[in-house]
Amino acid sequence: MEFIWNGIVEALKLILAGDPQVLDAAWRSIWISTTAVALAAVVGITIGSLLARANFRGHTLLIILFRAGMGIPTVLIGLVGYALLSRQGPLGMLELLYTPVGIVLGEFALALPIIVSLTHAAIANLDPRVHETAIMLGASPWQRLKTYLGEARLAITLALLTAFARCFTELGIAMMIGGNIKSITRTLATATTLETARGNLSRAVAMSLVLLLMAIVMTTLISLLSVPRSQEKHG
Amino acid sequence: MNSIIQITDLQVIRGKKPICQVPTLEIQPNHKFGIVGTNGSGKTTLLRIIAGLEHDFQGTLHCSLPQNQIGFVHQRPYMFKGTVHENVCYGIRSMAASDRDALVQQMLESFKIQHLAHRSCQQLSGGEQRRVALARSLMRQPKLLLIDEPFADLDDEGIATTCTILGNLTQTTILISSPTTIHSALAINGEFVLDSNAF
Repeated sequence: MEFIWNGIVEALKLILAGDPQVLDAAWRSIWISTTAVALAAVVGITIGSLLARANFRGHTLLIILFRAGMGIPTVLIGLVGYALLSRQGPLGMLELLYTPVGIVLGEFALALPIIVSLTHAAIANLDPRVHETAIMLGASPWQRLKTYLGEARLAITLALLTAFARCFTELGIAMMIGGNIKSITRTLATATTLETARGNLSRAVAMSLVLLLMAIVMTTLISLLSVPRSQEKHG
Repeated sequence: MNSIIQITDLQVIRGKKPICQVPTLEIQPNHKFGIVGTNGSGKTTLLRIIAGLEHDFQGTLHCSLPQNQIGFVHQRPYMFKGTVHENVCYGIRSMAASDRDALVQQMLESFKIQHLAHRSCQQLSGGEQRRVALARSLMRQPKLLLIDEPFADLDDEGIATTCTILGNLTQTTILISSPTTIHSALAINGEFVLDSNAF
């Protein structure tokens, strides 16, 4: 146990001293995950809203596929991404393998089903009077969409936080598509794996502590937002 | 005079059981019309059909107005997240802000709820929410106003205020209410009695 305790002490020293390798990996993890979730939010909220309100052929199948996608292993996304982006792959000409943009695309694929499924659930479960009231007050389809998103904003915020937490802590995509290249594609998760393999436990623990801190922040935010606010009524 | 609503042999069946039957019903423009009946007689269903919110029925319904000229207030109105002011101006958001704010203020004053303008709708009592919902619906000046139990949850002052406002309305109004309230508090031009024992 001593080496773990020493590792934690050394890790805290590295974090407090602003170790460039830790900060570099942390910053990269943050911007890659944020970009992936932002892109997935634009696409995912749109698809989720449409699935909640429109009915068309294959509608149920799409919902099932997106729900199934929520549990997809990151190594599978990494493998498919690698196959698509490698030189021999159909998207090889884009030269995105072993680049941060490649990881963003992979994490986009990870975040999209989460955001679509949770947005769909949030809007589909809205009180039917939301739709009826908006219709009877003359709201256009665009106004209605804004109303649905407004009424379900808490659940949609939770969806985004959940997607961010998943992207920030994932390893498979960053390792397989990013390649763990120092100062280019190295994220906190891949750096932790590498430092552990090298036997540099203090740095590995430092990276893990930052990951843990982010996970705690996200979980706390999700928990706080999940608590239903008591609706004060009087009269 | 041309009827604004004409209903013939309307029947709503849910799970092989009729829940609303209207042999004939005609409503003239600018009239105030009451729908009364026992619990489960299909009053709300009838109102929803007239509003165009329910389409699964047999018989014929002719309404001379498009849905965007019909106002509908639920029995338990839904309040969008936000303040009373934001809710009341929901249907007229395309209007210039200064004109819109003046109209909202005027409407809130007529309902005697101007002091609630910046209060969150989630903090209002049932009676206050009902008045806000009615004000919100009237902002669009619908030619036909459908109100489900407008006097429920209201205290005496709320009933009096709502009756004064409804009494001054020039548009056709159809409301569901108990026979006692509808006769004692509001001058109506006609009423239709739905009877659950008829089916």
